[in-house]
Amino acid sequence: MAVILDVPYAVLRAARESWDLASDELDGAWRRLARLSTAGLSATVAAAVRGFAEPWADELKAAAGLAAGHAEEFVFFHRRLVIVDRAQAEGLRALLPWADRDAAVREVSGP
Amino acid sequence: MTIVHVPAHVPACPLLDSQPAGAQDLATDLRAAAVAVKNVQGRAAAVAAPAWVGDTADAHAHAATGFAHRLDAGEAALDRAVTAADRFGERLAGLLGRRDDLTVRRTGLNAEIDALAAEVVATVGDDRLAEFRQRAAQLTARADDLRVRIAAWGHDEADAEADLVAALRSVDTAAEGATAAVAPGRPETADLARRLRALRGDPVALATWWRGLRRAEQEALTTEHPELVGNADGVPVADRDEANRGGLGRDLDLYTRREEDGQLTHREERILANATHVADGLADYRDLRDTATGTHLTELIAYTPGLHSGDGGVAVSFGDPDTADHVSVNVPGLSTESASLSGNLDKTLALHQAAVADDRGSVASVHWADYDAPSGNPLDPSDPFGQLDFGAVALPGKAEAGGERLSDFVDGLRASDEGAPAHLTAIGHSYGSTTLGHALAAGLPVDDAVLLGSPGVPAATAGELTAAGVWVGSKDRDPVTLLGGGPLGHDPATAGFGGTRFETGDGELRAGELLANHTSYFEGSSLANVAHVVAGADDEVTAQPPRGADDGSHLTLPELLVASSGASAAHGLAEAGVWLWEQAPFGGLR
Repeated sequence: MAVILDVPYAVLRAARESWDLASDELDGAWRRLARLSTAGLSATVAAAVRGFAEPWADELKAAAGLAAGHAEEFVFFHRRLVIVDRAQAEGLRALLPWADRDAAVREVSGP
Repeated sequence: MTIVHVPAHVPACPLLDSQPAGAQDLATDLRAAAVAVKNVQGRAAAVAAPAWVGDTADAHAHAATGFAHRLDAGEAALDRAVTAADRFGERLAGLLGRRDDLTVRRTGLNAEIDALAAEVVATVGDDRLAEFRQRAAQLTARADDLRVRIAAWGHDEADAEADLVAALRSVDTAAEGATAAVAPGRPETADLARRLRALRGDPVALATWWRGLRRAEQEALTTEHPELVGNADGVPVADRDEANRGGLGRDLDLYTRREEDGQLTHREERILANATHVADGLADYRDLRDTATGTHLTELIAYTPGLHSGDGGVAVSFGDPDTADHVSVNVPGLSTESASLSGNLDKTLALHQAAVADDRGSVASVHWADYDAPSGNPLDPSDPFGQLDFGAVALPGKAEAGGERLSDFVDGLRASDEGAPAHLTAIGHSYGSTTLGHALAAGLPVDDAVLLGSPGVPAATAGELTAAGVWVGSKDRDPVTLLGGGPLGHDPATAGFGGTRFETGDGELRAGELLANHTSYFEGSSLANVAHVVAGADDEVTAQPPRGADDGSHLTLPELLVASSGASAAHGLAEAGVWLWEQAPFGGLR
């Protein structure tokens, strides 16, 4: 038995690219916060800047990692989504746009 | 023994602990991060569960919905931080101006105190005692007043720092960010963006509307749509600079990541290359400061890295056109692209410094390269692609289209101008002069126009071209200026044209120097004369007889090429075409 998530390939592909782009964009953002410019600022201000930047850099780094993980969950082979079981299919469905939240997860026989 | 109580010197006003440019750089970094977070949050929100679904289990389990909600906290925190940093920078700039004023007053007062003390010591007897005591009392009162003002300055500086620190600390946790996200008064950018788009094309109305927004609204819109704010004609130049630098930072961050991942598309590759050129160009001048505000001297007024056939567009100013007495806009020519920014900025800076040296008021000098300049060679018969681009497309189309974009840009500068209208000069070099010519013919609102190394403009006389003053720099041994009368239009250096031709020198006759003749208008006497025009020092401009005047004889293009190379006219023409084409990408025809 194979499991199918009944969503067009283009939607799946777009979802993967969207999570991947989110990861890259947030990756750039947290790195910028991590090296935020404090040149030309007093020691007091620079300390406050670091105090602001560090937790948000950590938060954005975590969000970037989450998005990257979501993107990697979409594995394609010959323009078909690779799914091993129903639980994975339902997990992938939760990563799609809200409009596709009711996409059917079906078990089919044969290759 | 009689005593005169001469007051002690007033101590110096302290230096600023934080610098305006430092606050600018901080705000730029925060904006770049905010732009990225908003992009991601916006895309996630667009595919998230709608608000009416509420906090249902389905919505909770939906990844994009949770992701959008999570990022909204960071977005709100960054918005607060950007607004606070921007306000901090503005306060520092104001403090710097006040400090300069206090320093001038202190220097003068201390000199008067020294003078009184010297007179008292040198005077024998009490004849002037009453006068000395009266002067001493007056100086003491002024010194006390100045000390109070310096102390108040110190308090204001401390307040500015304390406000920034408090603002940053108020949103330095995820929980505080989440609270800020639902706080009343958080700007709604969707309506603001719609209004901004609707006002494009009416820079006066846009400028009025923009100045009526709250700072938090301006900042939220800037980080939500940097490309929109940064290139909106009528938005104040300083705000456009902030938006464009934020967008530039985001582009560098994102596309560098994607390059490292090997995921760049061809289009993204071009954008990254253009962004890198712009960043490098700005970095070359990052140590230059506006002496009045302490902020960076450069302003990134336009940044369109994905436009113009992939070449990208950019406009950079030295000085703030909104506050300057004299503003110039340089329009470069063939093969203009982001990659050529550094060399062109050198020319614009040279002009800026020369115009400032005229000491006729403050100056802002803009390099404007936000149009699709043609590629190709008009002279090389072996380059059919170049001829096609230059002849069939570039000549009627690109100069006209560029002229329209230039007109919009200048209209924007006029609309965002503060105080008395600036004296505005547009300068076109090479093909840029043709582009400028089309803008002038359509009514470009400038006071003066300078045509440098022009291959032609679309009017037979200066009067037909524009009501502005027309100045022409045209070296007789610059082969490009001898193209006039061809498809690009009329030669503005002729007597019949009626512009004021100023001294540039003729240039060298040797074949190897012809390129230099075309690319050296921002040097020597030519640069000095252009600077005089920009600074409104018309009386200092030195004239050169126009072509066709009694003392204005010159060679034709074939004659020049033959004379310079010794080759036949046809061979010389073809060689010159190849030579012009080969040099263009390296900064020749700009």
